[in-house]
Amino acid sequence: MSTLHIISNRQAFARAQSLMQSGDAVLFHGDGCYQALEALPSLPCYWLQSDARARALCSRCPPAITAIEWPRVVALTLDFDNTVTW
Amino acid sequence: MATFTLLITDDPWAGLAFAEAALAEGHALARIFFYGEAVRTANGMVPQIGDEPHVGKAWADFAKAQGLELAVCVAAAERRGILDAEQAEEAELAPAMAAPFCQAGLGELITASAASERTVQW
Repeated sequence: MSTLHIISNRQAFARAQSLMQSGDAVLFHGDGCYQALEALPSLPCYWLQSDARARALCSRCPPAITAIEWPRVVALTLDFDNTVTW
Repeated sequence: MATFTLLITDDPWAGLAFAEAALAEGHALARIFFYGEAVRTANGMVPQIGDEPHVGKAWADFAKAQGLELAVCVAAAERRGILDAEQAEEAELAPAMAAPFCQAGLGELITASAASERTVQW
C-alpha cells in the first residue's frame, strides 16, 4: 500500500516521518516548504512551486525536490494507493 | 478520469486550488466536505475586508460556477454559531450560512468517500 504523505508544516513532518515507507512519496506545500529545506527522507519528494515562490524559496530548492504545480498534485494523488494529510 | 471527495479541515485555499485543478484535468468531485475549523469558510457574516482575499466568497463563486454544493459538518458549524436559516429560526439567532453551503452529516462524507477513487484532505 503506497502512500502520498502531504505535509503542510514542521509538526506534520515530525509526525509522519516514522511512518514513511519505501514506495511512498512526500508532498510539501504551504509552510511545509520550509521543512523541505532540512533533512529529507530517501523517497521521491515534491513541493508546490507556487507556495515555495510565495515564501521566496525557489532559489534554494534542494536537488532532491521536484517542483510541481496543482495539476501534477492531482495526478500524484492517483499514482499512490492513498494519501495522508498529516 | 477519477472521482474525488475533498475533506477540508485546515487549508481551504489549498483545497480550492486542488478542486479547481481536479476539474480542469477532467476529474469529478463527488463531495466537498468542510469539517473542524474549516467550517468557518461557510460563515456568511464575515465581510470583505479591504482588498484581502475572501476564502468563503472564493469557494462560493467556484461552487456556483460549477453547480456544486458545499457540505458543512452540521455539529462543527453549530458549535461555531454558523447556522442556516432554518436552524437560526429555531434557535432565535441570526443565520450565517447560505447556498451553496449546506449543512451535512458525517455519513454523507463516508458515502461520498466510498464512491470515490480518492479522498484527499486539505
